[in-house]
Amino acid sequence: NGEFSALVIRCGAVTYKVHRIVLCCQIDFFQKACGGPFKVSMIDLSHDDSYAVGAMIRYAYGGQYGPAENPDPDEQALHHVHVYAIASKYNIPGLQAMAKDCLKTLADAHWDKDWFADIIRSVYETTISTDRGLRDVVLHVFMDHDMALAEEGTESPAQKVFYEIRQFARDCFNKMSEDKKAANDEFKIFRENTIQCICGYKGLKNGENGSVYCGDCRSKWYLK
Amino acid sequence: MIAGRGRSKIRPPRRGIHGGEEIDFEQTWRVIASAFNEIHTKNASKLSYEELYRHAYRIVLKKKGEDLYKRVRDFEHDWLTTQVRLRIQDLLSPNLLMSSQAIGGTTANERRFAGEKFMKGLKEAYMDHHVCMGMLADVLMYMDRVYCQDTHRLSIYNSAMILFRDDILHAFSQDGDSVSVLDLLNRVILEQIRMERDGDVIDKHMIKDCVYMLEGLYEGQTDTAESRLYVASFEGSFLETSRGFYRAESELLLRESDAGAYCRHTRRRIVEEQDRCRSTLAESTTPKIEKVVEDELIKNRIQELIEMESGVRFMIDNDRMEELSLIYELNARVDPKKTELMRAMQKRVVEMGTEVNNAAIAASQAPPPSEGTDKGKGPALEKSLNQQTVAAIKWVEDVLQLKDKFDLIWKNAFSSDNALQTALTRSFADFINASSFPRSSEYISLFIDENMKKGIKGKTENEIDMVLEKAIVLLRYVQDKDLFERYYKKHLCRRLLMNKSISNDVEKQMISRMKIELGNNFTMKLEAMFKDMTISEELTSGYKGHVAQLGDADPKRIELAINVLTSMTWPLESMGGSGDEEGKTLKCIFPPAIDRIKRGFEKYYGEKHSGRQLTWLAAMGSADVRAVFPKVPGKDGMLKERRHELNVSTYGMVILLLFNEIPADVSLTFEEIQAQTNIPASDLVRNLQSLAVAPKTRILVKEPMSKDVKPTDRFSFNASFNGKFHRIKVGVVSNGNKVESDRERKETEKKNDDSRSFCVEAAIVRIMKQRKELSHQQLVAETLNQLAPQFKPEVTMIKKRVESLIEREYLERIENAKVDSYRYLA
Repeated sequence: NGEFSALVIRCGAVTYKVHRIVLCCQIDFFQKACGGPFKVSMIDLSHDDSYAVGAMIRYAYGGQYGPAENPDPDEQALHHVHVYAIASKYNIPGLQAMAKDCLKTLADAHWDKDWFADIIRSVYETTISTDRGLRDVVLHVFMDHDMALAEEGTESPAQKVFYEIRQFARDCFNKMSEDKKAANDEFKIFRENTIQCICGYKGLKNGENGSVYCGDCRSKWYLK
Repeated sequence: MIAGRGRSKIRPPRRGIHGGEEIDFEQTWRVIASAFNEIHTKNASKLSYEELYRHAYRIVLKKKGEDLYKRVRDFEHDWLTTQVRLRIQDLLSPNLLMSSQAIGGTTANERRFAGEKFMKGLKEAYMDHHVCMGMLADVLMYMDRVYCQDTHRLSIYNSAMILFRDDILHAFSQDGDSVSVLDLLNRVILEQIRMERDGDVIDKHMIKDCVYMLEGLYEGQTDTAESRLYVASFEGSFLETSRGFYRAESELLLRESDAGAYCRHTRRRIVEEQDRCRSTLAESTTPKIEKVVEDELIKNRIQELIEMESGVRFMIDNDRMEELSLIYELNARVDPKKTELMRAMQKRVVEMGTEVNNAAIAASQAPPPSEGTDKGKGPALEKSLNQQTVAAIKWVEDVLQLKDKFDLIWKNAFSSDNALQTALTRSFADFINASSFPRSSEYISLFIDENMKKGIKGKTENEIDMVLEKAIVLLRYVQDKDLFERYYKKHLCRRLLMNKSISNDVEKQMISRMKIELGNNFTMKLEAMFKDMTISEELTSGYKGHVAQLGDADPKRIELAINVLTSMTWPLESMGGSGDEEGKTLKCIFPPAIDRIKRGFEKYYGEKHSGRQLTWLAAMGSADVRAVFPKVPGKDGMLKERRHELNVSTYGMVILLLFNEIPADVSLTFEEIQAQTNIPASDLVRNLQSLAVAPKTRILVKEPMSKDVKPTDRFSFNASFNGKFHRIKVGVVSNGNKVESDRERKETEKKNDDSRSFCVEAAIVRIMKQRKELSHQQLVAETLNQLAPQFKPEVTMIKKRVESLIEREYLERIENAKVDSYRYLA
């Protein structure tokens, strides 16, 4: 009883018996649910993904959460998306960050799989547009390989996502224009600060490492 | 290119988590709204927190946050305006709504109950709202965190607090009335505080709860400390009402009670207000209300308070330490410099000091009191001088007593305040150096003189220390240290030459104390006097040894004890009495026996110190003369020769020795005596008075017998002289240290001014030598500064000295200078 008493969390067919104090201290939601004037016989989280609930409880106890039962990478990736969603719902920033890192590793390795499109779909369904965490992860992986993905036909799973999730298409467009602008700026800075020696060597205006000599022919900088 | 692509397997249908299906907003809201209803009616225990949280989460996730937020606000607005406002309006009884001036038929008590009921209802409504909104905010946590933050909205809790403010507190208490619930609440609280100030007991807790509400709500949209409703709406009128209350109270109190009671009351009020802020209002108000009380009860009244009949003057006069310390404490609250108290205290010090001064002047000028005649001897002049000495000593004691009094007040009542000590010192210096009272230097020196001669007899070392300390304490106040030096030298001179000091050690202690207090320069000459005395002792014994070597002891030989005084060190002019001028030009003719000794010593001294000239001061010193009077029948009828040892002044000895040369029945006239001795007339008169007029020492007979000595009087040896003691001291009038007569004082001051002129000139030259060129103003300032430890010269004196230095071409004026300036001419 009291703070140390067991708390029963049901999630569909699964029932977790946990220490009330552990959950209440780590996660505000449980604190409010148990400490307030509301009904508290047991907490029913059947509406959440049961693996994600398990991950959340493990995280509350040990600061870590394990992989999904199914070892397939697509199942693993989806698991991380669900963990991220539950962490966002119940405001557990540490868990959120952990899930994001895990998903990024998987996405980098498996961007070329068909199920990557499903992951993008899940991410856009389970997060709100102002939460850039997972959305940026999948977006950046996608854009890093835009050339390869563009060579696929319009019916490929990856390109199909554009039709289905307008928000994703828009994010890609924004990212492209941002990248382009950044590249332009970089080039402009390079051009403005570069000089060329008569030997053909190009270097930064202020001399390389502060020297007044050409980095190649060792003569004084002679401008072409 | 890209190998291994393609669907590796068929995906299972997604589990039914958050995302997938769309939600029905209206239906979900209905669930939430009915739950809120339960919360407001205190039935939350039926509700599942998880369910409500999930609903709110999903609405926001599906981008319906805006709608949810608006619905919640509308719900609360509705609740407050329909349910809560009615309950509050039920509490407004007519006699509560009446303005306080209009209380007529209703008793104050009824009004008070109505007020308490109103506060209680309002407080409960607020607490309910606060609790419910806390629960709503818990349910809507995701909305607050995601929607409100992203769109920069107020959190739902704050937003609902604003609703409470607008829908309940700012609502008018009655339709068509311009008094809002908040105004009414302020009024009720102020009335309750007023009751408490008048001595009633009120429910502090209830008011504190209402204040808690006002502190939890803000005016406007921002929640800064200044915009708390407590500050924005209540505090100002609280301070204003309090100001009015205390202003009236201070007026009444000043009229009806004495200053001590006023102080006590004021302190109690301040403590009360501090307590009230702690227990009833808010701590943040403490400094503000303190200031109001301080302004009204102290700052605006301190002058009146201090000047009341029972004010500071009364307290000082009656040593009301507790009240004085209260005044100090109160004054310090409003003025770190304590200006008013300081002024009153200084005024009183100067007043009391002036009284002491005036008493001394009156005592010294009054005709000799009748009880003085019982001593029955000595001329009236001496009486009056004695009386002045007594006045001087009384003055010193009185000033010290005054100082003790104020020191005690300063220590016990004024917390040993530094600024007040400085002020005290200044005030003491003011009356001690007052131009209407020029005698302080002389009086202090006389006080020391008196103690050195008589006062310290039989006292312990500690007591002597205290006496010396007293003198030093007073000396610190004296501005014209040079004048004091002059008197001290004069008095010391007499003590030393006439062996009047009880203890040489104590004299030296005094000197070393003065050295610490006034510096080396000041005591150098005094120390030189002691040195002369030591050397003289050596000379005397040396000469004695020298004479003994010359031959067999001669029973008739006259013994010589001599003091050789360095002429610049000793204030000899003050020793010679009134006959200075003649004394200097005429040399006393010594009888041959004495003259022999004189020449003998001159020779002895000449051998030791060649080139020094000795001047004999016959006006000083004394002689022991063994006199043999003719036989007269004793008690047993036997004829007995009577021998007396007479201690007479040097002049007295010279006169008496004249009668050795002539038969006992021959007389000499005054003029004959004067011609044979060359003694200045005034000295001769005084010496003859002691020898022939004073009843106990009538060794000569004067013809005719009268008090005055006239040039034609004749004197002869009094063979029938009858003395009671073997050893008889023949005193000469005006031989002690007494207060100067006015004429003497003028002389002393003149001499002092002369020597000041030299000091001023020396200072000017020193300064100009260093600076080369200087403006007049700067020169005056620096001169004053340099001379400050010694005395404060008049500026006109400095001007005169500058003129004189220019005349003598030490300085020149700089031509065409913007301001008057001088140049030093090397």
